[in-house]
Amino acid sequence: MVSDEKVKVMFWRTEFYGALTEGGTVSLHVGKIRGFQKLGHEVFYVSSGPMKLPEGVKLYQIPYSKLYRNFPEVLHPNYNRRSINAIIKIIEKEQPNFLHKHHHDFHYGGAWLKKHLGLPFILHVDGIEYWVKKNWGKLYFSHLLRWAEDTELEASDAIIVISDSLKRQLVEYGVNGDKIHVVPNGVHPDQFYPEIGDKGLKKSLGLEDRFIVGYTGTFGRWHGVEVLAESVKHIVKRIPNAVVMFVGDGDLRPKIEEITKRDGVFDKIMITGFVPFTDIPHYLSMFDVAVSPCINNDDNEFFNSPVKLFEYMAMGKPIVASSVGQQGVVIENGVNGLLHEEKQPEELAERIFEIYSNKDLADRLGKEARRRAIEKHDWKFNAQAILDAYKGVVGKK
Amino acid sequence: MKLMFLIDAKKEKLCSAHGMNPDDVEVVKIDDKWLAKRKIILGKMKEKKYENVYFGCIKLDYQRFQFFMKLYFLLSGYIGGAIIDEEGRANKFSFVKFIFKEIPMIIIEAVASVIVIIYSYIKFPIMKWYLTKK
Repeated sequence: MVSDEKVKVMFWRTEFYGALTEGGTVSLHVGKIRGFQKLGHEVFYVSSGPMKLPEGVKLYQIPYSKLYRNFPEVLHPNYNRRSINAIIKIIEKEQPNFLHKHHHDFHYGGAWLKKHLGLPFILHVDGIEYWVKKNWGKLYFSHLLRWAEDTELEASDAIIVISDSLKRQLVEYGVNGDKIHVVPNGVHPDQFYPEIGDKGLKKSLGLEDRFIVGYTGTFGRWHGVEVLAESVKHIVKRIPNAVVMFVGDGDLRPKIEEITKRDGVFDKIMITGFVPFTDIPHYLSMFDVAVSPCINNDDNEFFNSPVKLFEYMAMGKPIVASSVGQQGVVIENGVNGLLHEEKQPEELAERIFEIYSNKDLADRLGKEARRRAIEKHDWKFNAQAILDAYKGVVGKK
Repeated sequence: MKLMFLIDAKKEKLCSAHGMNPDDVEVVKIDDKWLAKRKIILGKMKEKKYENVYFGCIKLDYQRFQFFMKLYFLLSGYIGGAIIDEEGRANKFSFVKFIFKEIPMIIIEAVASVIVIIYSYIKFPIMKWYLTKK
């Protein structure tokens, strides 16, 4: 059995993400890493590209081959051999206690390291890749994808998932539920706090006298940004000086622009594009109300754990969120935020108006949200849960 | 007016790194997967007469699908086009280089890709059996 001794954790990110060092996955990894650091543990990071890491965390890059860069997915199967050969040398040098790998498509490196080096293997899963590709993207080489995915899911010693819904899906997919640990995402309340201020952003953007309805995150399928775009006309009808700020970027950006242009409210929105992770608290500081209008997937329930929700809470913002999945559990309606039915832009606007017109309510919701963020959703609790999973694995051996 | 397709990169950084006036640059934000959408990309390039066309990325070394970007330069007639990055580097279109280097390279890549996929279809199920057996 492992005692409370300090451990060394190897994070491994195998996806191809170009040179993008901003976005949801970065927030997730940086959050977890700082969580481990807060608990006094050591972390090093192995990845396919550049990454902005907290101070004191070593980065090892194993780049993808430059030969396979023009046809979709072909670069991935080949990365197994390349990355495994390179990571063995890194492991020899660093001697980690365990591997914490982010699950990505076509890669079985975690299973390989466990088999050959006996390295305890804890897999982070935030979606079943086969399902994600089939429903949200394009599914090429489906057998390869499933073989690799099944290998990792079966060989891993423990699996960390971000929500109960995802655990249910994995069990239906055939994964042993006993090794799945539900650990929702989190936030660093010492990095996201109300007093941090906007660093002059509101003034520089000319928004000093505006009521800012804000959203942060990737404009992806489940985030519900189209719902927010649809609600803009209802929001400005009731709050004429409102501006809806989309902090982020992504595939659905043209959709947001199309909807708001169609409704004649394009001048009432602002899209910032990706902003550095360290600037996000300053953007959040400007918000008068923060929204998370996530939606269920077409044929299964919402299985994510939106980091933005915890960041809003830690910033002490009044929140309006859809009641899907984990959001309906984390947000207690009327206590630390207001809930609305998913895909209901008018209702979303109505909840925003409630906050706009009742300052006491806004203050009360924000304070309670901050309190709960500190008590329940600090990333250090997330790191502790992963360590507990590791101890369980080592204890069994 | 110049046209710039932005892939994750920031217009201000690219303009500053390449000495362009941001007011003289029309930006279209795209995901690199959109490069498969021929009608959208070519349609935009042919929408009006631009002084030049660029694809702007964060780092050239990490940018996928550069062959297809160059193919768009060729098909649209913007043979002065370039793929540029935030560090001030540029991969300029050259007709001679395209014919004698990039087309042969894409053929090699296509052949290698077929081999990799066939090999993977043999290897992956074996690895699944081997790595998951008790």
